[in-house]
Amino acid sequence: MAGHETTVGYAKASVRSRTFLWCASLSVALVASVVTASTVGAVDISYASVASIVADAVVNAVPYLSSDLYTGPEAHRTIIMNVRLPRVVVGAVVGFALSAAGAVMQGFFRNPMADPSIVGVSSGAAVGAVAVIVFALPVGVGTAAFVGALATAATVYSIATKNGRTGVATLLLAGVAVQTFLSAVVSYMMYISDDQSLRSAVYWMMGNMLYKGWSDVVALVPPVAVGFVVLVYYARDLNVLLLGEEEARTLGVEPRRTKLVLLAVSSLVTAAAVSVAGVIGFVGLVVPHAVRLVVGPDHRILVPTSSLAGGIFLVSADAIARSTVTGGELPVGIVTALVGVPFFLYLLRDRKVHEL
Amino acid sequence: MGVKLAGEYVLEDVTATAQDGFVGVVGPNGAGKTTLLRTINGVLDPDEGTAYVGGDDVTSLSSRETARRVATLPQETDVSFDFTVEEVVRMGRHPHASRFGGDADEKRAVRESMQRVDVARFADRSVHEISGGERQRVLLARCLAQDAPLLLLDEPTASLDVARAVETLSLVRSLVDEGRTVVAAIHDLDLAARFCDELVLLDDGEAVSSGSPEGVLTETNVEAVFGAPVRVDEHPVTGAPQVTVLGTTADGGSPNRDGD
Repeated sequence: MAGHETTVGYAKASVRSRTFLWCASLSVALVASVVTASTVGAVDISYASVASIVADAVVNAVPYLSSDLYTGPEAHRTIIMNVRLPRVVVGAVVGFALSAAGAVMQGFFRNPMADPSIVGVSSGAAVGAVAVIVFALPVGVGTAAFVGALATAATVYSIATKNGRTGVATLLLAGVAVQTFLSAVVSYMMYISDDQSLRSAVYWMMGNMLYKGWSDVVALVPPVAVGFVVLVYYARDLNVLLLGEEEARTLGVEPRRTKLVLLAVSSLVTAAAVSVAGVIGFVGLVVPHAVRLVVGPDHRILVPTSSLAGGIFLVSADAIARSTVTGGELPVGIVTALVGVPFFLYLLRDRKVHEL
Repeated sequence: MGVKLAGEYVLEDVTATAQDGFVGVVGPNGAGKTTLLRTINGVLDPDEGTAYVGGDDVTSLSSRETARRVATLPQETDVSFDFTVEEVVRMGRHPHASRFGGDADEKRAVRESMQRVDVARFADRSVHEISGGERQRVLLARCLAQDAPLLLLDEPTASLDVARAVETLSLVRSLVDEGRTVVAAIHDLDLAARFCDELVLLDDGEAVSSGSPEGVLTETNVEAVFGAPVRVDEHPVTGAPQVTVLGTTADGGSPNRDGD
């Protein structure tokens, strides 16, 4: 028995300290990637300039403090503060949101191939956005996408709910069916549209961060921040829910309420991201999966670390999207898939993955 | 009490009380053993009657409160992701934990229960890397970590070899001797007779007989319920009733005593 004492006594760092360490390092990496990505663009602005511009902006935002570290041309400050930084921050928040929701959905469906749009959020957003583009409706594309996304999630949920019970498998199938139906609707709208709006619609659906400003950041942050806190709050319940609904109940989880909250909040967070940046595939699928291989399946660590890693991933992918094509830029969705998939396959082959 | 599943009574008119001690629920496949346990732990809502746990109607309690009173050992678990043994045992503390960490007894309870069932050796292994029998013990450790006065065990020996089965039931016996109440569905009549204080014999959703193993496992009772001629002797070593099935019935129904 003494032997066992030592084995257990030498327990690895607690969940809380591991979470803290991972999140602290990833946060530093996220800030670094935001600054680095802001140096990318037609005008050459050095890393040090960007760093001092950002530091000035942050310090001056705090009352009674002021900072004037940056001494270069004011035009550069304008480019960074009004053009590059907001779009990079949008990328960070969108990547963060999609990965948080992806990590939760993979746990919820007990299926590592689930993505944040599994209950039709992206398809619903696409219907809303494409309808506005094609029919020139007097509504913002983002608003329509947001409403379409949430309406679709709610519809799929109610289709899959019978007598107060929501079967996970039914939900999955209902989600797939509704997504297929909505893609047909989107295809039809694109078929009858003129060339100009067809091009806009296709571009929106590929996902991009072009022309994003601080107003987008302001629209994104509240739902993502609130949603993220709720998801972390339920992370422990989600761990137990992985054992199956009945077993989770015998361990003190209220399965129905927990499932409804997790699904609703993930859908909200995804809808916010998709309505701002369009359908950016693969981030919410690959990032949580890759992070799980490294930090393990405990959602108390997985949800925050995936979110931060998702921010880093999308900021980097967007920087690549902006710098590869001269005189233009690739839709970031193309980059996330082209870069993300090989990296993901490498992880899959390299690390031992048990029944994942 | 009665429980209907898909409109059919699976459990009909069962009355039983477990004050303390080791109560074994026995009976053929489909008799309602698992259903009885799922009603006591609040997973199923009885259509008639009430399951009381610690004096309260179990359906009136929150899952959290129920989980503090009743720990359930499932037959097999399906852990979809790569949790370690220790992480699974720690899930037993869920009903005691506040949202962000805060469970003063967690370390102690997890360590003690892992040592108790001898799974501390592979605390850091993945639950997918260990054998079915070891996994069963991990789940038992999780139940112990739950610190509930009532333990429900659904076929705790179904995936174990004879020696491990005896070992596990001896362990359960010692938990009972320390003051816990255990209700276990056990398909092996001899093991049930040897370790339990009381048996409840279920047949087609009805409690046919209950009481001491000697009183329940009579030739008449067992023959009527399992539909096969049997002989009941006293075991030469343990002194418990020992059931020997002598053959099958004329209608060809062979008594199948695998877990359900």
